[in-house]
Amino acid sequence: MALDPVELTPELGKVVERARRQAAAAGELRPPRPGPYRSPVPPKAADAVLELLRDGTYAAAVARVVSEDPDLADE
Amino acid sequence: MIVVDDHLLLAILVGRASATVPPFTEADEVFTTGSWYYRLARAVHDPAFSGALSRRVAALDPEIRGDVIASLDELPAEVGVLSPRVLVPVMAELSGIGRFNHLHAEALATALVLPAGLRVAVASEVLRSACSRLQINLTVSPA
Repeated sequence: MALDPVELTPELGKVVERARRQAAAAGELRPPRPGPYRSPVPPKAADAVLELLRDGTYAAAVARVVSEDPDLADE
Repeated sequence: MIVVDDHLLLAILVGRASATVPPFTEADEVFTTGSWYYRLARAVHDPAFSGALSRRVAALDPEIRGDVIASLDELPAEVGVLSPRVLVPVMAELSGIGRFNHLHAEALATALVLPAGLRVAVASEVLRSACSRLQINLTVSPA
């Protein structure tokens, strides 16, 4: 859990508090639809994607993206 | 409430979030950021990744294969994302405590505004240090 804004630097605290009010007014502080997401992806395909996450295939794709766009890097 | 990176978002989109460590619970309200969603979309369309995925699901009905790719492109309504209108002023103010790229500034700002913890598969020293300073709960959980 993040710090309450009053515990941040005063300037950052004020900005966070204002942003939180804006987000609340816009209804952004909760996902648009409540409840857990039920994926339509069939189990076999889901397992294939999970394997690509675990074997480094996805990480390699991210590395290629980041090489073109450093603002998306994990620094 | 948790904010997840692209690796964990991908696991959520295919319904395998419970396979992550520690597992998600039904009570977790999930958010991500525009940058992580964008990075996921770019990586999923990377030729090597999409080729590997196609080979692994080649035995499935072509219509189902198309549905799988479509599912990875679309952010479901059960996953929240804060707008730039809300986040940019906070991201700009964060420059007062450190130098962050867009990805990290947006993640930190999202965690502060909600407020929420961050859940990522990979955490750099920059992110760890900033989370510690801002007392944001950071969980590193490989997908």
